[in-house]
Amino acid sequence: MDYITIDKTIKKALYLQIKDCITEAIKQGILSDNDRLPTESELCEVFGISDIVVKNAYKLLVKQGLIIRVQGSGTYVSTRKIFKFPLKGFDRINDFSHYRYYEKEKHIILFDVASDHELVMDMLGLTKDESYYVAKYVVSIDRAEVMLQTLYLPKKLYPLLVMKDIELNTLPELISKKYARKTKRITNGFSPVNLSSSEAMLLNTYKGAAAHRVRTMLYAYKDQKIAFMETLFLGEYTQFEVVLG
Amino acid sequence: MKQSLLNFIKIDKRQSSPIHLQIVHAIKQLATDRKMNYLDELPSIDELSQTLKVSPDEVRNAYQKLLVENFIRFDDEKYYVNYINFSSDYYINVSRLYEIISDLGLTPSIKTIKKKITSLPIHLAVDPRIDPNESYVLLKRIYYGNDIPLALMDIYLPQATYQGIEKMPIDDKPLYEAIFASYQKMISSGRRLMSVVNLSRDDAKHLNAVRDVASYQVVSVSFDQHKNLIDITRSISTMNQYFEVEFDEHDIERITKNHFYYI
Repeated sequence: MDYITIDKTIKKALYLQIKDCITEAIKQGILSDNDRLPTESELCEVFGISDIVVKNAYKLLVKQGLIIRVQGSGTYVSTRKIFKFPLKGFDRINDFSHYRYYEKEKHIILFDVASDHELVMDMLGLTKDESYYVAKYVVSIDRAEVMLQTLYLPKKLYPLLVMKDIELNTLPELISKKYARKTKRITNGFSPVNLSSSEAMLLNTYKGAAAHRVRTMLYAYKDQKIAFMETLFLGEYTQFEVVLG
Repeated sequence: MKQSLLNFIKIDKRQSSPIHLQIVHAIKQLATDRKMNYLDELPSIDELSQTLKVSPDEVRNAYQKLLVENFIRFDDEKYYVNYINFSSDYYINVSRLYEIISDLGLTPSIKTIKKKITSLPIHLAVDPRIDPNESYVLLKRIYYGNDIPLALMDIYLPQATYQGIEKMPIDDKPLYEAIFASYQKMISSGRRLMSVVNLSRDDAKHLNAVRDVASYQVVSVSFDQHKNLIDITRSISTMNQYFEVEFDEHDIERITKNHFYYI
């Protein structure tokens, strides 16, 4: 536990000092996935501090998703990572930096036909008597939740669509193979948002956590709108990278 | 401006899309088309409902929706545009904030609130070409448009390269110009990392904003014409940020089975 240094002569609160040391140790790789952290009593004994200080520090770290506490077992470094995605260009997929071999999972939680979301109706240019398919799913990489995606497809363009289609295909595959449509243009609009409590729950974080919201529109020939997608990425764990020059 | 805005906001009552959403879209469209700019005053609820001949509730709902999205703000009983058409260039291309602010028709100004020699916070060592053990000159600066704080920057300059820069009279000057004038360095490459963070108490204080609001944080590293490090900068802004990235057919062809996004 020598990665923790406490200076009781300075103003900075003790629990913050502990929290910052552990955060740094994780960032620098001194602590890695699933490493066990000292117990409350171990820290209290070494540093002569009260257990409430340790509790507060750990509580913050849990909130930030950096550590997890396992009942009856101990406190461990969480496997959640910072993912780096290229903002432009698709060929640099390997540039996930340290994530060359990742395990990807798409977990569908909702599949429906609807016509009540005004923004979606509007984005897809649908009239009142038309409807859209909606599929909501959580994407995990190496078992850590990374994004919450909601896909909207105009019903008239995707006859006989079933949930399995969404489950087994990537969006471009679905569009090009099953429905033989060609995507001509994609626009992505990025904004920062705070997560609602349900979004936070699905992404395994806390309410109000910062997130990237990406609204994606897919167009076919003559700017026909063929899909609209809203994606939430955990803000502090997802970095979009741009290379200049 | 108020008068002309009133004439620009148009709705079509025959359309099936709800009136309040039409108002929302009309206002957003005006902002993206630059007919309406940051801090422009919006018509009052009554004015707009009379002009459009719709119920005040429709306008109120529209404004409420825009407020929630932080697209407009409410101050002193008036509604203002809170959206800066901060062109996507700021995020995607080499660009200078000072010029961006001035291009928006605002008067740019800069204040340096802190200068010190320090080490580089480890989370800013984002490129292998950065030596985290060097000493850096930290310049903490606030960029204003019409005296409203728009962005906060923590600029780290390698001390060995910029001897004496902390004593130069550049506290209120655009930095890269000064660096070019005194050190003949200009940005020729670099990278940016964008993440979303909740505004910290300190950042919020400097930006005159509320803490825990999700905001884009950009860490940028730039290199000069000889591939030497110019600076590492963390910037954060409370402006209503939005940027767009477009992919053409060529990009789309390269979407692979293994793509992270179109999973």
